[in-house]
Amino acid sequence: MNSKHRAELQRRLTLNAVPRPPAGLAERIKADIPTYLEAESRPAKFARSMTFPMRIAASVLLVVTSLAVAMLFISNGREEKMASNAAAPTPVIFAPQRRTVAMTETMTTTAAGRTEEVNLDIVEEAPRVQQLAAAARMAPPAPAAIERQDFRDETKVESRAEGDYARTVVDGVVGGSRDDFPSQPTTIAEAVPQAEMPVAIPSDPEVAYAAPAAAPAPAPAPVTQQITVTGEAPMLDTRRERASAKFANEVVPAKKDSVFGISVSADAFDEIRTTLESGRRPAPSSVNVEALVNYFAGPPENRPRRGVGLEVEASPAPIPARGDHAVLRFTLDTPEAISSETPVPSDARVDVDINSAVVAHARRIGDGDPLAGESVLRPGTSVTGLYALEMKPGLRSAQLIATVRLHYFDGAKPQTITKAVHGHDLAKSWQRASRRHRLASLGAVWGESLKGTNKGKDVARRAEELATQAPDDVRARELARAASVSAAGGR
Amino acid sequence: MAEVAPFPVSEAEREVTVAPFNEERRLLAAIRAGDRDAAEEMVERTYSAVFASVYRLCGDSDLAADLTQETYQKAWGALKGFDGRSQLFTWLYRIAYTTFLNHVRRPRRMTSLDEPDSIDVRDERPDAEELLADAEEAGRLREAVMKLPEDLRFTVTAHFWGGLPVKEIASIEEITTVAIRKRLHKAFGLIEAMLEEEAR
Repeated sequence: MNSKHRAELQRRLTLNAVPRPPAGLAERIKADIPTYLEAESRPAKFARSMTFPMRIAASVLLVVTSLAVAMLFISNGREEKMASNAAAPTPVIFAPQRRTVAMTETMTTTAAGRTEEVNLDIVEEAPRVQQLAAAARMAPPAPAAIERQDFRDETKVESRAEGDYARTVVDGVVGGSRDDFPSQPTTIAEAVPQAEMPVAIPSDPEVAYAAPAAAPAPAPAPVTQQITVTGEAPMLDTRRERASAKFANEVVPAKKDSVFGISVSADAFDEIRTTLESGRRPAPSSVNVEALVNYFAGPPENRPRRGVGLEVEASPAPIPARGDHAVLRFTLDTPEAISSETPVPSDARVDVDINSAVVAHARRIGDGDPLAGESVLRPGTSVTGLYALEMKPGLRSAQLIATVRLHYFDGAKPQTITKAVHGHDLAKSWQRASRRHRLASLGAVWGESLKGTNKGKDVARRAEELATQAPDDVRARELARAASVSAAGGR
Repeated sequence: MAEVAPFPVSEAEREVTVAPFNEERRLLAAIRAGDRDAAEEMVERTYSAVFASVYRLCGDSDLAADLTQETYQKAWGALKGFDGRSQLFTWLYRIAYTTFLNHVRRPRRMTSLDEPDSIDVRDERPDAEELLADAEEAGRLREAVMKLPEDLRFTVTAHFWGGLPVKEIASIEEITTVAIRKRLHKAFGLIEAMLEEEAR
């Protein structure tokens, strides 16, 4: 192929006209943007936000540990040297030093959310070499040191109580809540070893002041240490919101008969089965189809660990009928159990938007009442809602059929999960839908057949297929058995 | 008939489509962080080019729109796995190309084996033969391209119809740019032979 042919071919490949995208294509694409992107990204976002502070913390820990080890070596060497020179100590000139440590800390203060600056001036004079050497080796903790250790412990308790207070450790001092610090500069005298002295820097702040005691301590020499603590109250609003959040230990774990106004009574199926096995048909008015749907939908294979799980699925109807009929299902699952201090999902509501451009008629299977809100979603909850859809002809695979949105509060945080089903979801057969979906929808058809709204033709056969596919599935067996009994007009 | 735009896209358009790498990373990070505005921005930046690429593959505007929408539906789900080594548009093009191939290979009517239970979802899209049997010159050319072996077909369509630089294609195919150029050369030879044979 010569270069002329090649150039001509390239030209023909590249110079064809392309129509502009149809109007509204961008909107169609944007309508499919899932909100679960946010939910999925939250752990990653948290991990990212934590990475940098964790790296800093690890670096600080490494430096402190290295220093401690180095100082330990120096300390041992000096102790040996000083022991050998004990008879004739060499005077060492040690100039007084003033150490200043500034630290900025974010912490909750008052309801007004004001910012306060708290200054702690810890004045410490240069110790004499002999005194400090003795103190470092032998002295029990000085009273001020003990005081300060207690103070630190209180601070930690306070910090835990406040939960979100930042805590900073500087030379073993833990910055605490505003109440721990007087609003005016305070002077605390205590022994702080100087660079020239043998110093063991513990990496653990808890033992920072637990010097070994062997001899009476000389009066500690003060060192000036200024700690500037600036406190703000960014957590205040969250704490106020938390007060209204519902926690697992506050929620009565009683079973409910309805969730979102959908009956989930576990006894509904047992009552029907008992009636059928006694050779009678249940009265149509006594058949609770919603409860049957929920009984056969059952719990999920794996419950979510936190938050709420939302399944949305659509399929053709389980039993053929004239026209195009479909079933839309949504199922919510909450975790089996959650920590008593974890907020439970609350103030939940479900919105189901059905696209009237493709759906001719839609009804919620059961009593058909609008879905109600739910103040609290208890642990171990599963609730399924089904919609019977009659489709308009000419459905295209990319067309939106329905969107299901779950809104709830995770503590104080509003959450929304959105899932949608499209035309291509109905292109697959009912047999290819999830097992939960098949059991729920077949249970619905069977329930409606008991009410007399359909003949329930083929329900028993379908249920038998399900039971055969998974012999361990108790619910499928129960449905197959009950459907065959009801098809025979009772036992 | 829709308004016709020149192809390939002009440099100005491509600048919008192929954002600077850092800008793309920012956009992706924002989308992953749940920023819907960022996701919409990504759609705005890329959908015209994705549509154009798909149109070049299938030659049908409605079908190209459907496949473009399907491409993004898949992209949202696959976003987690996108490592950002290639450009965003390159990644989208790969999805669009696969979506197109899946469409061509899909049965004409999307009915299940269990006929009575499936809903008749209308699939007005022409099948592969119809797609490729355009009487126009572009149609013949497209047909020839579609008959290429998979590796050559992807390379040609990605470069000429997707507007991807050779370097980008080499990156996603994990081969050298020289190998890509060899593919293009080989593809030209085969296309030329096919067109000549058809003309006889």
